Amino acid sequence: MTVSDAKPRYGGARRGLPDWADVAGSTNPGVPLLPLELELSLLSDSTDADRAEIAVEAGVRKLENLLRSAQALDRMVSLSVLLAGLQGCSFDEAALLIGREPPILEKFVRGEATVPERVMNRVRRLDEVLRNLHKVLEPTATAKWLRTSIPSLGNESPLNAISKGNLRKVEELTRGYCAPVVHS
Amino acid sequence: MTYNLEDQDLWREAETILLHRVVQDDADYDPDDPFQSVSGRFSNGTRWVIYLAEEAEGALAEWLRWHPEFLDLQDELRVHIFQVRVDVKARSLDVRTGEQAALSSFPFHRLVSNDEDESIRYQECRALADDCDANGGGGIRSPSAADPWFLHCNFTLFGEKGGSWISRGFIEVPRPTISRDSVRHFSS
Repeated sequence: MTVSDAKPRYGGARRGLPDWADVAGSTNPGVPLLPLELELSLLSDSTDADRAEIAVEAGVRKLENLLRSAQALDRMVSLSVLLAGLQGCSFDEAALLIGREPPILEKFVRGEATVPERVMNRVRRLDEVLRNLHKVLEPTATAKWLRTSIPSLGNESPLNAISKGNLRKVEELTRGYCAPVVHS
Repeated sequence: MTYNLEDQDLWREAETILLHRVVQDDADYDPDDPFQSVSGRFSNGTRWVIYLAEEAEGALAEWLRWHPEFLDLQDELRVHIFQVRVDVKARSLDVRTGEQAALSSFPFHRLVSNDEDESIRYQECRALADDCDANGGGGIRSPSAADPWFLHCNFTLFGEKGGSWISRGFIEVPRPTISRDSVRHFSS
C-alpha cells in the first residue's frame, strides 16, 4: 500500500484537517508538524494496526525528507551568507576560495545541488576568517585584503594561499588580528 | 639579576600618565585590560602585562608592524585607538634613551632588537623585565621598535589592574594615518 492509497481512508481532509500525507510530503521545510501529530492521535483511536503502522512509517520517511530539506536549506543559507561577506570579490574568486569550479558553486547557490559536508567545513572555516577580519577591517575592503600580499603568508595573498591549500595559515593570521596587541 | 639597575636615575617615581592602545572593533577586552601574554618584548606568559604607547601614532605603528598588509588599507581599518589614564603607583624603569640605558648595563640596541627569531629578539628584554620586577618596578618605559627612528616610546606595565597601577578610565581618540615609512618592518 502506498501513502497515496492510504490517504482517503484516513479522511483527514474530510475532517477539515490538512491532509497529513501531503503535509509530510511537502518540500517546504516551514510547514508545521502539528497536523501530523493531530492525525496520529486520530489514528491511535483506530483499531486497524496495519494502517497505523503504514502511516507512521510514511510519516517518519517524510520527516526525514523534511530534515534533509532543512539541512540542505541551512547549508545553502550558510554558503550565501559567506558569499555576501566576500564583498567586491568576483564569482570566480569566490569559487576559488570555496574550492569548487564556478558552475558547481552556481548549482549550490541556486539550490540545484546540495552543498556537501566537506564544502560546508570549508565554508565554516572561511566564515571564521571573515568574522575575524571584519573586526579590524571594513567588509567593503575584503576583496582588497584578499588580493594583498602578506609577509606572514610568504608574501602570498590570502586568495592565493587559500587556493593553494593553506587555509590554516590564513586562519592563524586572522585570529592574530583579534589578539590584544603586544609590542615588538 | 642579569643587569645592574642600581642607579636611581634609571627609575621614575609614581606618576599619572596618558597612554595609548589599539583595540579591535567589538573586542572582548577593555582598553585597560592587561593579559598574560606569551609573546611580546617584555612578556613570556609568566606575568600580567599591558602594552601601551605614549602617542597614538606609536600605538598604531606597533599594530601595523605586526600587520603591514593594512598599511595601504588604513582608511578602511576598524581598529580604534584608546587613550588610557593610568596611575602608576610603583616606580618604573626608564630606558627610553641611549643615555638612560647607559646607566644600566643593558645594551640600548637590544631594546629595539629586530632578529627574525622571537626567542632571540626578546631574550634580553625579557630578562630586563624580570630584573625590573625583582627591583620593585611596575613597568618599563622604552623606545618603540616599530618606529624606524626610535622616537616614539612605549610604557609596558606589569601586574594586574589595581596592583602596581590603576586605570582611571579611557576614551577613544582619533586614529591617525601613518606613512609606510613610519613603520619599521621585521628583519629590516
